[in-house]
Amino acid sequence: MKRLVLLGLTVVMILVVSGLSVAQDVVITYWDTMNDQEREVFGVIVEECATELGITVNYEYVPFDQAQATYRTAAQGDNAPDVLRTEVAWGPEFAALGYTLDITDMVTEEERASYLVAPFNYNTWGGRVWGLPQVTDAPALVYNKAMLAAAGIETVPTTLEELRAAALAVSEALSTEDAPVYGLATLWAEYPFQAVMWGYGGSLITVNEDGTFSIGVNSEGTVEALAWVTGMLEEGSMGPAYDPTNQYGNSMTAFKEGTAAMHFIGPWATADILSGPAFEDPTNLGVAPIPAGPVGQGSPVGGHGYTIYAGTDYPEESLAFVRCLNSVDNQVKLALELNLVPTLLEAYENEELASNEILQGFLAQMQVATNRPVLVAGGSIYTEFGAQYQAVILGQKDAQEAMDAVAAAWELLLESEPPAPGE
Amino acid sequence: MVKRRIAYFFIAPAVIATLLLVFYPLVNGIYLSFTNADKFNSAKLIGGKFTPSSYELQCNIDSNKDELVPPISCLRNYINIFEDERYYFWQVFGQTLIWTAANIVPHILLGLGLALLLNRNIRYRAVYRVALILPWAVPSYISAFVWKFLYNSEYGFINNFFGTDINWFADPTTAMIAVVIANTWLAVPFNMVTMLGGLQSIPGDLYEAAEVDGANWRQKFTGITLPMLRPVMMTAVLLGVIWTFNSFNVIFLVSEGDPSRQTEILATWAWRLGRDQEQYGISAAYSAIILALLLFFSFVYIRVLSRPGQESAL
Repeated sequence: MKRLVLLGLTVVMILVVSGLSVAQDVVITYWDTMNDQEREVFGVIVEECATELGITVNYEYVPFDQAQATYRTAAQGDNAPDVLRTEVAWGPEFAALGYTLDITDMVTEEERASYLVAPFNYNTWGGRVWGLPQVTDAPALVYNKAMLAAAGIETVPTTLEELRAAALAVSEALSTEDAPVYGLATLWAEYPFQAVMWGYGGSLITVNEDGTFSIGVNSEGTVEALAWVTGMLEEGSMGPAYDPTNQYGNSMTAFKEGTAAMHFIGPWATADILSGPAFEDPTNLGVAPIPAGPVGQGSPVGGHGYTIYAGTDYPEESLAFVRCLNSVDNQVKLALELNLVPTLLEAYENEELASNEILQGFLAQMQVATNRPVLVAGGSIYTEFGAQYQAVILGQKDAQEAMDAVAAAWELLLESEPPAPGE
Repeated sequence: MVKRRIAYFFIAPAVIATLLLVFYPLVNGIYLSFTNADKFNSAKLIGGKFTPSSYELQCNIDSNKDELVPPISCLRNYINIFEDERYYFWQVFGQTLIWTAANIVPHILLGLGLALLLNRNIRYRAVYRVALILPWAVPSYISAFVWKFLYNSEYGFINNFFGTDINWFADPTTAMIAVVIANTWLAVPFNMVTMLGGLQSIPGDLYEAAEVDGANWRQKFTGITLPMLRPVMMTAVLLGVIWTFNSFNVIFLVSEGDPSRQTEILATWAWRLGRDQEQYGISAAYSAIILALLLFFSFVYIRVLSRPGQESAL
């Protein structure tokens, strides 16, 4: 009996002591998904904010392609970080599952108005606010000026047909027998391909007024857009050859090393591109909007926001931390050092930023970019789209048949789409 | 009686652990396979607030999409998997069979061949053994990443070294060959060690007697080595089939199921449905199907191969 009492006392003591030590100090865990080059700059900002607010921040890195699933698992069991860098397509899903904190009432009208409308809307779902936008982005046409000049191309293509002709001219002019040169780096996945798809009149999912969905991915436009890509691959003006598991890296390397003259990529990659041998002189990098197709022009608007975990012990402190990370000064810093596109209107008043050619190129792209559907299924649609895109690009499947399979899979996904609150 | 109680007491920890870690998950997984469990209706713990799960048995859900009635509708997940091609069961099942067969043959043959080579008195035998066992000692995900780099179509070592231009993961056949090579490299050491153990347990007098009778190398191999190795080989094949059928790392990390799902196997595909899409019910049904397939295979295999009176390592 005596021993039991002793044991009980010890347990109580341990609990009290550990409880006290937690209460003394605000500890916020932040999961970042930025790439290596970006984190070099951003890590400093995180530290500055922790010092400024007098809190401890556990700054943890989760690879972007695993973050969505990892966060879901963690959030389900109360292990989620207080703050997550959330890709725009994940927002509605996390909100619907009750994982992210509804911050509608914590965000003032003024604060709301300080953001660009489109990126801010990505952080809303069902009329509620679930996060604050960190950066916005859309893949643009980035090009190697010297290579285009060497092939005699003086103006940047403004239609997809012109782009195809220019790419062919580059690869014919610059290729040698054992070292092929490509006009356009292979579109690494379905994500940048969407720009071509919209150009030819294809679409993703449209939410109708009565709440039903229209799937447009298997329309004629998408099929024509796929023919544009496969045609260029056959001509040899697009390359290197599509390697499913390595294509993002291989396309980037080809562009960085000067074996591909043009590339569809977003602002997140500029720091990486400028580290490549072809861009020792950074002014060699040009950025322009992805050319228009016969029907339209577009590029998928992506971006990231900060969301707060619904089960956090520190909602106020977490939001203060987010506001600090997202200050005008920090957004300008990210824009100038990494060419990331700011979401705060005030950031655009910075003069240095206005004269930054690369950033202005990406901003021009934002003017003709396309918003993706804000759906709970929005983060899951690319699984099937990507698999079928691959099958078409590799010549294993008829384009129409493949896109019909995508539409069929999306119907299954949309069956479990929950209604947004307030609808 | 007292003695027996003490015995129960001693085995209790192991029994409890087995019940908790093996039996409960197994039963729960099979139960889940009859429900509509997904990310929306699973239990959640958020900020200390527990929301219990709200998934139901499929037969308790009225679905107007199919005309199934209880008790058949309890099997809705299974019926969907077998009938709805959007769950890709038959394609992935076929790939799993190809993957397993294509792996097990080289595993056993190479394992046996290397074991025979090492089972002689050669110089530096210890060195060879260490070198051959190394792939097994390296964590398999590290080897998988290395293989992935080697296979890169543009910058990979294999294409650069041999001057070839093979885009391994662009074609289902080469992709399958690539993952089988990587997996064989990983699996051969185990088979080699197992076979070597088997070889060394064969009494030397049998060979001596055979030599006295004037048997040649081949006669000794087919007359003594193979029959004596039989129990070991049977175990190696059975374990190999089960492991390969469920082997996750190589497919998941090297080919990632590419090109477009054509190297996906049941184990990786069930994981994708479960983790990427969080369709726990469907994923659990997939796991139950895998379990049933392997149990069936093991049963038939042992039945067919173990003749009465013959010793088996199983």
